Amino acid sequence: MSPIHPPLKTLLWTGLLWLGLVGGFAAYSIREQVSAAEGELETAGRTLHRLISQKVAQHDAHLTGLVALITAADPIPEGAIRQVSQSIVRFYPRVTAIHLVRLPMPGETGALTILSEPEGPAPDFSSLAAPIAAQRQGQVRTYSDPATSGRYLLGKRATYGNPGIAVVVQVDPSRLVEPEDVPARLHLRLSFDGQIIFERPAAKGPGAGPLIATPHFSQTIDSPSQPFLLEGDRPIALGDVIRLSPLLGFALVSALILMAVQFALAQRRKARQSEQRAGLLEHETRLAHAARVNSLGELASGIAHELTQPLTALLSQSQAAMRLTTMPDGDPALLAQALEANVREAKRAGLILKRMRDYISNRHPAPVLSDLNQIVLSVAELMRPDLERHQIRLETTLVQPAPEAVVDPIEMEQVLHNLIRNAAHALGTGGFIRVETWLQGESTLVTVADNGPGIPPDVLPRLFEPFFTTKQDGMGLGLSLCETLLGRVGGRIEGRNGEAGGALFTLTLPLGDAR
Amino acid sequence: MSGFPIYLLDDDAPVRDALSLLLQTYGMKVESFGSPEVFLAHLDEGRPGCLILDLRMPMISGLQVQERLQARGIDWPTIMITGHGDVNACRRAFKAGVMDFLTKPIDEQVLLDAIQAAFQALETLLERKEARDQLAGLTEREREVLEMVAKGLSSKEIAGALDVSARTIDAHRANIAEKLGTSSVADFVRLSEAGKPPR
Repeated sequence: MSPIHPPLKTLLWTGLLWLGLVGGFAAYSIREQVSAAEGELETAGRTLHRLISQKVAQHDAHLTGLVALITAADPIPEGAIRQVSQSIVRFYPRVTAIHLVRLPMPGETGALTILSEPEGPAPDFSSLAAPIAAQRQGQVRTYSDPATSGRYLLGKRATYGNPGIAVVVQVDPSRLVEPEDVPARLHLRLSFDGQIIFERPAAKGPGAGPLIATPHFSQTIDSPSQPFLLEGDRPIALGDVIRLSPLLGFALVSALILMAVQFALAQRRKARQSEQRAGLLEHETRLAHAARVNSLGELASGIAHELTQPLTALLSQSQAAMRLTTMPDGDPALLAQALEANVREAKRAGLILKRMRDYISNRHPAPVLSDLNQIVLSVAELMRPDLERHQIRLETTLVQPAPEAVVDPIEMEQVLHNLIRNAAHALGTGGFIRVETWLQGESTLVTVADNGPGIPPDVLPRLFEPFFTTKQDGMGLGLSLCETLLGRVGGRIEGRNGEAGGALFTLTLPLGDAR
Repeated sequence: MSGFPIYLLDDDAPVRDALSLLLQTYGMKVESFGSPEVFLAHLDEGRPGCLILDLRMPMISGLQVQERLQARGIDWPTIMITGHGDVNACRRAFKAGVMDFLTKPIDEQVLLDAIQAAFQALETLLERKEARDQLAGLTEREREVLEMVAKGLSSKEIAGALDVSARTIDAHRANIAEKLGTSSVADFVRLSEAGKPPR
């Protein structure tokens, strides 16, 4: 998968997560709004309840005051009662009228209004006469006004003699509530005995969209005389609670954050991948280097052995020559012979060192037109002493004219070195290794064959697999490296078992353009 | 220098030539060989000498050469030379009875010292061989008496120890002197010591 473009699945999940977040935010804000509205309704309801309760309690106080005035003197002090009634009506506009009513004597019907404030034709209270007469002393009762709708009456019996006197107060319930005390969206209702005595629709209707909740408030007014049921409704529509701009803002911000997180995660994944790749590469480089050093170690040991011989000869010849010069009967011919041998040996040592330098040289691969026969000879010469120590014969058959290919001679030597070393490993002691060069059309072939046990069939398909090895202390990089080195110069390597048994490796290289 | 020959075996001709020349300037008799086969074929058992063998050679190593020589009863002092100061090879060489183990390139003085020591060892070896040969002519009882004489016991004491007469011991001593060609007690001590197997 590409580290830059997140996979579709990730995108899908991110989209779902985003939708969930936006949905969650919307649900949360709706809940908050509804809960706020409920709180507001509760507060408003309690405030209204308190205010109404206070006001209706004042009605009781008015009645008590009037009754006290009525019973204060005989005959009834009408003047004083009128005065008090006038001031009550003036200061309490919801008290729309006050009447003094004489209750009927037993056997009589109807009620006679003695006094009315404001003055005017008295309403007919005959339907109320009996119930008021039946009221206990001190009790105030609410009655619906038979004459005027939208008002209610409060009745209290003042005297119990014959005829009895009662006070009837008419109240306008709509004025129990000041408009400024009612929230605009509150639908208010006041009812008594299931009858609505006052209803006030919300000043402002619900917003657009379907109703999602209608919080309700209901509480009975704290008054024995006027136990009205106060009810409030505050319908909430979707349009009331969905604030489009914060929602859009949240959607945008959350989308941005998710994208940022997505990007950061992708970056981290990418970083981790490249870190892993770098680690792997470093590992490979280290192993490849180890393999190189390892084979160079073997090489160095071989070269050290080779260098020892000329050095030994040099030292001993020189010491012999020194002795000859100090001997009175020293043979000058012998001295010359010793010095000649020294020159020869020094040159031999120099050649060995040159070969080592060429082989170990750290220069970068520099493919040049190279004589493959020469490369084969050079490697053969380098490895022969070691092979002979294991009684392994190294044969070279080189085609003429010498084939030339554009390769890095040192890398080519490493390839051959690896193949010959593998063959020697397979052989153990004894046997032969045959290195041959061939010309075949536009290609040149180098074959390395041995008469060892050959390559097991199960190993064949994995020959060039890195880190695959059958050697106990091997790293499995040799042949893999060979393949890489050959690939670099447009060549290839194949391994199989020869017709006569033993392993056969074939290197195929494009011929250089020299011929 | 002693007249013992030096037998040199190394597959590398320049090394062989150089060492030969160097040792010849010291008046030594050097016989050099390039291949173990030729060396083993030409070695004269009647002409004991010091062996200088190259440890690392194709086909047959210096150690294998030495083993074959020992199988033939040739236990002359051997100096092993090698291009590698390999500890394991060195240990194996000493176990196989090699006298010295020199690392190439070999300094003149080190080589000469080693050869000197080898010659001395060879001399002792040959003396022992001679003494053993001489002692081999004595009877069991004569060897017993010789042993006691070498320890410094008198004839009377020996007679007492062996529960025979002093006269008999004197007769034994006369026989011993005749067989060994000497009546000197000092010679008796030397031969008796040399005849003991090396520790």
